Amino acid sequence: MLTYNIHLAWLSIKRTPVLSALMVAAIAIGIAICMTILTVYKVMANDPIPQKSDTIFTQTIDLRSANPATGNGPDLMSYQDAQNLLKSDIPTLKSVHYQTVAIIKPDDKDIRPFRSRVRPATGDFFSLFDAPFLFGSRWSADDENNLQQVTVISNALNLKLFGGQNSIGQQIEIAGRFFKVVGVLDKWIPTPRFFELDGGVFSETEGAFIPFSLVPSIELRKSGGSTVCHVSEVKEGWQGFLSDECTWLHMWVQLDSKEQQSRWKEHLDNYVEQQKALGRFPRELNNHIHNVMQWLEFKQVVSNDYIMLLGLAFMFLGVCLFNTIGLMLSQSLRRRGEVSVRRALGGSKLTLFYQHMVEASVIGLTGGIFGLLLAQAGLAGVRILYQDFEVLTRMNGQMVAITFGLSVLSSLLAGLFPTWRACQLAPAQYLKTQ
Amino acid sequence: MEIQPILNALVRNRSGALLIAIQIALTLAVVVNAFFIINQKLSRMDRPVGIDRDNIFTVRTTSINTLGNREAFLKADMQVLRAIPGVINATPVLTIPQGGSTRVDGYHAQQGNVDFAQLVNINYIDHHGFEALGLKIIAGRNFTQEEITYVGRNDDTIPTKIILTLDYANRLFPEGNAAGKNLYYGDNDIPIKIIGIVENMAAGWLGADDARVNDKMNDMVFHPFITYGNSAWYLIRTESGMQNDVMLEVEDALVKRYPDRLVDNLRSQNDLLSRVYAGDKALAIILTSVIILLIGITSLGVVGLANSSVSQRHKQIGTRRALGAQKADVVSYFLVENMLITGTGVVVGVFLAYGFNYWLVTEFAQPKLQGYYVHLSILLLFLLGQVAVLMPALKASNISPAVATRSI
Repeated sequence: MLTYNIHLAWLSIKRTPVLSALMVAAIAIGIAICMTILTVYKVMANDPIPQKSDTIFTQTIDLRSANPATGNGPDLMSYQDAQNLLKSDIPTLKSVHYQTVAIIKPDDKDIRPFRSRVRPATGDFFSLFDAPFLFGSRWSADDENNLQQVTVISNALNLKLFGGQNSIGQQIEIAGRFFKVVGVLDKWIPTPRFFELDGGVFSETEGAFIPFSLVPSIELRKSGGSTVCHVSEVKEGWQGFLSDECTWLHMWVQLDSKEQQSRWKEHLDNYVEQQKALGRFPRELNNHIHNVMQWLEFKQVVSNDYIMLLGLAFMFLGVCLFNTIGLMLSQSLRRRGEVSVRRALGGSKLTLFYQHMVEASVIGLTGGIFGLLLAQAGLAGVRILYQDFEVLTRMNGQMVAITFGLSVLSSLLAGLFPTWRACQLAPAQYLKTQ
Repeated sequence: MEIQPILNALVRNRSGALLIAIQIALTLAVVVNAFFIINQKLSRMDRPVGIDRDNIFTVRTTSINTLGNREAFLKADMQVLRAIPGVINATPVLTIPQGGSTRVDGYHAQQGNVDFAQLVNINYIDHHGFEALGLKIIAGRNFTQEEITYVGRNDDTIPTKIILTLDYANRLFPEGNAAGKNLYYGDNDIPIKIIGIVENMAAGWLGADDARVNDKMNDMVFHPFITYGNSAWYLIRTESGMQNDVMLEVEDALVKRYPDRLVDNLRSQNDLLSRVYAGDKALAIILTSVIILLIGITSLGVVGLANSSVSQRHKQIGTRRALGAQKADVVSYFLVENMLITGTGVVVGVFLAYGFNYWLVTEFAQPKLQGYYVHLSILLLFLLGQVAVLMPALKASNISPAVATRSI
């Protein structure tokens, strides 16, 4: 029955090639525009770590001085608070980190020294964010406590320095000191890069990671992002900076259960109260915890522009849909004779309904295929427009499935009304004029 | 021309016409809002930056090994840069103008009145800085060579003398004459003297769209500082037409003076500004393509409907012609019919357009739609409908009256 109906659909498409082509074109263009914009939107509003996004959290505590009174509290932590909060054993995993830039000098004298992003981080960083390792592993807690100069490097950096070979045990010079490579990450592009929203949310993860415990002994100033000192006069030097009321560090924790989450919140409140007793935190309690998606929303990572654009794109698809309904309607008007003959020969309304819906799906699928091709062209255009977002605009299997689903669904929707009309015909009237 | 019979015919055969009307309504809503957003983006991109953007470029230098005397390093580099033929002047800066990453702070005009600290963008320049930027001192004076101090990169030292842009000066002192007055920082009581007022220059947050800074595009303070962190940024202004030549020479000149360094991020200010606005431009282009495709699709719908109604009414049209209707009558029938359909669509579309804008206003704090976007779009849609229906209408007018005499 299905093959017969598909055969009929093909015959009917052949009979009215222009009209059918227009229908396919309308669906294809509507789908292409919609999918292009949806892909861009999806990548931006992407959940970067779906398996854990509701169990890893960042927190804000408000250490600002009493004045001025406006605006949100700082997003980031001071060195002192981060150190104190790291002592808690409530979170399953916890990590403090920040981004800096340093000169990396390869052993190979043929490669010029170059600037690279470097991220001092506490060792749980890799397991907290599920960073995949290609070679080796994270540094140990002992390495960290004993201030060992060890490093985990990114796939890209390993490619640049060691041609992609297993470089475990090799030495590289970062900021004038020698570090032993203990791990190499696999390609890792959490998009958007939720744990560091400054400096290209959609770009690849930085070159080298080093133990956070080395921070006091190497002056690696934060690069990019905000550093805010909530004091009128800052203390001298790096040690002064570390002990000052300056917020600049990211801190993320893993809290697996509701109970853990409320205990962590309580711990933050207690901590701030205790610090108040020491004369810090002059403001009211203003502590918050955010999971990954809440954080991305709070930081408005998806620009409003794209939400507007998405609204417009779906209205566009609406226009294409009504256009297709119009075309199908005029096609079915032309075929009143054929429908009447089938009805007169005993075809039930259901049979005819089925036949027309199969036809609509064939149109929809064809539209979907062309729409997919057009959307690729559209995405290529978008990639040219947004040169900075390399990874931004690839369609994955899910998006392709959505494309076909959406196109068949919209053509079925479009076919519904004309088909219903065709089935309502009283056959006798149209048989007479044959 | 009687409208009543056309209306009757439309009501009797309403589904096709209704579909077109809905398309027109949606098209109007999309086109109005898209035009509105495009225009906002274009006017954003059109904002003045104040500085001589056509002749300015910036470059970064990073020393490979730790530097000794950073102040001397910076001064020696400046001498080299200023000596390159074609260079008008050069200055070290804290951050690239309008580059996004920038130092933000707040000053207030009355001692102790910390609550009224006004958010401002801070940049560092030396005594050649304003010539390098292409900004004129409006009141007071420039920094002198002796006033320029070396400070650490993340050192939040506050100077004793500063220069403000005109807009920031007026914000702090609405009555004017800010030059010579004092400002205060934090709960510090040390007066900071405004020694000069300079022409407006767009702040580092030019590319941002943030309610906190949107009305403070030209709020800047210049500190008489030079600094070097992991690296330093230099800004160089050339004589017009010399930029490319100088850009080619800069790296060699700097490396020749001090080889143990990297020179990168060599970028003209126009190039930087086009990056700042890349997102706005992309959105404008995407929306323009959406409008063009949409208008195409809607016109095809109109043509399709008119065509099928012409073939359906083949006999009636012939009969009308046989009964004495002129060709022009037939054409005008279709034109008027299209006007009625478009009119219905437009009425609904206006509500949709304002509805969509209302969503933008309430959800995203976007500006309210201005009436003329709606008027222009309505005009466009009427024109479009008339043009689209013209071909089928002419075809209809060529139906021979003889059709009426054939089998009925």
